[in-house]
Amino acid sequence: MPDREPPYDQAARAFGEEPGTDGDEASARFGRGTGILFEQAMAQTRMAVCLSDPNAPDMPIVFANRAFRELTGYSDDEIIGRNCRFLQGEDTDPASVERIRRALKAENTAVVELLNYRKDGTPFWNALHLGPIYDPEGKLLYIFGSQWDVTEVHSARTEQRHADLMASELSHRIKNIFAVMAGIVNMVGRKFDARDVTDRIATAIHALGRAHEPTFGETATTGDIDIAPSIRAVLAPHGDGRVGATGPEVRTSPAIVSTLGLVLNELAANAVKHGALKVLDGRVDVTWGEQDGYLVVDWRETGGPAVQAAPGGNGTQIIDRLLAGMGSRIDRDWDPEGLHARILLQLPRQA
Amino acid sequence: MLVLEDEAIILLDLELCLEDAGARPLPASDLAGAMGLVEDDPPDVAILDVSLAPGVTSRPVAERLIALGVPFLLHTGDNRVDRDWMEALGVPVLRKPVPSDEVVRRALALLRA
Repeated sequence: MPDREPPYDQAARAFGEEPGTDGDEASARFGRGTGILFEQAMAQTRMAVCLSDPNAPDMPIVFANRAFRELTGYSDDEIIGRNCRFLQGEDTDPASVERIRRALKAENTAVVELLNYRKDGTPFWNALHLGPIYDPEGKLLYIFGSQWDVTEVHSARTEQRHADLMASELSHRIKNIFAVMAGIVNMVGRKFDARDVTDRIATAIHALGRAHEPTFGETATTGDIDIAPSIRAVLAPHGDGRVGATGPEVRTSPAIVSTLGLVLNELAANAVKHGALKVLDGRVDVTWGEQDGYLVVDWRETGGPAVQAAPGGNGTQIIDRLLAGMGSRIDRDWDPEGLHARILLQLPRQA
Repeated sequence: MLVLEDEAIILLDLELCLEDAGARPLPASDLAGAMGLVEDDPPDVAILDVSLAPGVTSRPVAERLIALGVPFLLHTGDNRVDRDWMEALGVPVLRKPVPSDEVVRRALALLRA
């Protein structure tokens, strides 16, 4: 890393001083130490910096610091005297170059991200900040350029975009599959004249689709999901605004989405058929929260027909067994005012 | 009723649901087919799937129907599609999956509106 000339002399030249002499306006204003401070600051900083002379033909670089040399892999004698464009290469976007050119012409400050190349040919994304430096009389003296290698930021952004696109595509396909499955079930129902059964199957498929839909985007990137939008989505089509859904974000594994979707769908279907949603004044309020490793969902029906007995049924048995298999349960309280159910769903422990 | 849907099974299910409801379905599975049907004999009402193929949406049909004053709804499962134009149309947007009966019911309600 030995510099080819004493650092102060290099900086002094860039500032128009003769090495080792007292000099120009800058020195006059800031004193003899300006050049030394400048060079020391430039040598210390990890930000690559160069200065170009806009008054010389083809705007050559007249100063580049250590970080610039390390970033680009070129030595001083390969840098000084050349126009900055030697860093560009095959895949540099001409539009970025054009933005630089316009900023230079207008003497504007600009930040342009462009693909540059090191001496060994490897490309890197350069966040180039450039701007004019004037002397006290307002004459354009230098173009300041700082280079920041943002390759990692860039590839992270590209990967994020790619992941988002994949998630959207997946979401579209999965929703289509749910719709196709429900369509097939309907057709079978028509063929065998069993619409009463197949309608219930199709409804469950739709509930599953809605429960999963809000999770597609998230799972792809984080692995866990917020269950709250799934609960709202499953309940949304039921009861024409007579179903309240209130609760906080609860982050968990997508593994519980299907179970919760089917259980809530079953409760909603029963409320429409026998419970509070059977009458116009009835309503259901669903609230939820996380408690000791469980998702606790409170289902309360009010304003419906008077409850006499606990109606059993295959649907109820199925959801009870479904929950039991997951170390979870549902408690039903047949309040005369309406069903009050409490679902305790064990949250999968995060790895 | 015009039904534009690129997925054959969903298209058939919608057709059958329409017949159950006593309506006459005019099925189309791509943009050209739907445009042809609209020009031949404008339908009373339509159900349009939004995303028909990579980069192809039913937007031209939607705009033609608006020009003709035909009510319609959009039936979509694709959240990549730029939503602005869909919202700008001011027509109902149903997000898949929605039961076909429900789609048909909502479309027929447009006729009565």
